[in-house]
Amino acid sequence: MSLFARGLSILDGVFRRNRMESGMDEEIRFHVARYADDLERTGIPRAEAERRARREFGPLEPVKEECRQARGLRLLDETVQDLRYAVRSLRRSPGFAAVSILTLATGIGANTAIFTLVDRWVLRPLPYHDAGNLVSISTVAAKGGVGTTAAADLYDWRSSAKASKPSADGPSPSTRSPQAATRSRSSAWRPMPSSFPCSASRRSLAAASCRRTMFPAPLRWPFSAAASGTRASVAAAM
Amino acid sequence: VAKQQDLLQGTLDLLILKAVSLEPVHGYGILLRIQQLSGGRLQIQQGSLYPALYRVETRGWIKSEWGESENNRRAKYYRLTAAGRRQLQTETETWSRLSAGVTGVLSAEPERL
Repeated sequence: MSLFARGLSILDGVFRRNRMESGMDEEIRFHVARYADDLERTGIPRAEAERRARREFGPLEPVKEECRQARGLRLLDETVQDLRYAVRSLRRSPGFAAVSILTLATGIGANTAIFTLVDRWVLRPLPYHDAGNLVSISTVAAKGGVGTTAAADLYDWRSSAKASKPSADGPSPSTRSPQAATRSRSSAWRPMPSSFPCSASRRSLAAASCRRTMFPAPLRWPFSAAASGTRASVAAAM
Repeated sequence: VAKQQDLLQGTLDLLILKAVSLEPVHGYGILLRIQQLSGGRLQIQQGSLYPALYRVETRGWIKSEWGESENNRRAKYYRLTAAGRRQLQTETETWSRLSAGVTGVLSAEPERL
């Protein structure tokens, strides 16, 4: 059996419903008339032959219903009936209809809002290559207290790191600060800009983020930050 | 006389395919042909023929078109499709195997066990 043929036949039935219904009626009428002809030929009067032919065929509606079912139209019919019934019921009690619609709308709206937030904040990765390796940098004062890190500090740290080891660009996990060891999800400090190629498909967002958070050259731990009385630490992975 | 409800499930479809395979024919003609070919031993209930025809057509095994009947009435004629011909062959083989099996069981005698 071809599924395609069955699908076509059902579609044909749906779109040409009226034609199918009248075709079905005509086909059954033809059948009964032909049977009546045959009965008449055996000597039965025409009127009696027609009555008998109709009786022997049986009730028409169950046969037609089975034919529609065979065409796969029953589900469609029942769905349409259910929809009509729903519309009638809602019209009868507009107050109930309004409350139902409002409840549904509120529920759907709340769900959509929550999903959107979860999707943006939790499910979607950041628009960078290897987003799991991104880190944010905080400055921890000697007396405690975490603050933001000034860009100028970072440039300083970067140039001193260059001066001490200009060609180094690998991870150095052994040199993290104590805070970093306890608070960081990142296992090591890594070279930054080369690890941050912006995703081409999200260019504008990525470009904006690059301007805010990226630095033009490799930056390595440890930084010579003791002089300014602060320690830099890798505080948390983004 | 075996009535339609006595026929095995699916047998009506097979009989329809065979009747239609001989030449295009309308629904009433299918009944007459099955009756004639079975020597009057098989009589299909008139009401159950059309749902079966629609089912077989929906499966793509037969195709229908309107034409003129022998007494100039408009009638819907059914003919076998290529898929229907393959189905007829498959079902005929299945029927032969089933029939041979049942006959084998029914012809069993104590001394041949």
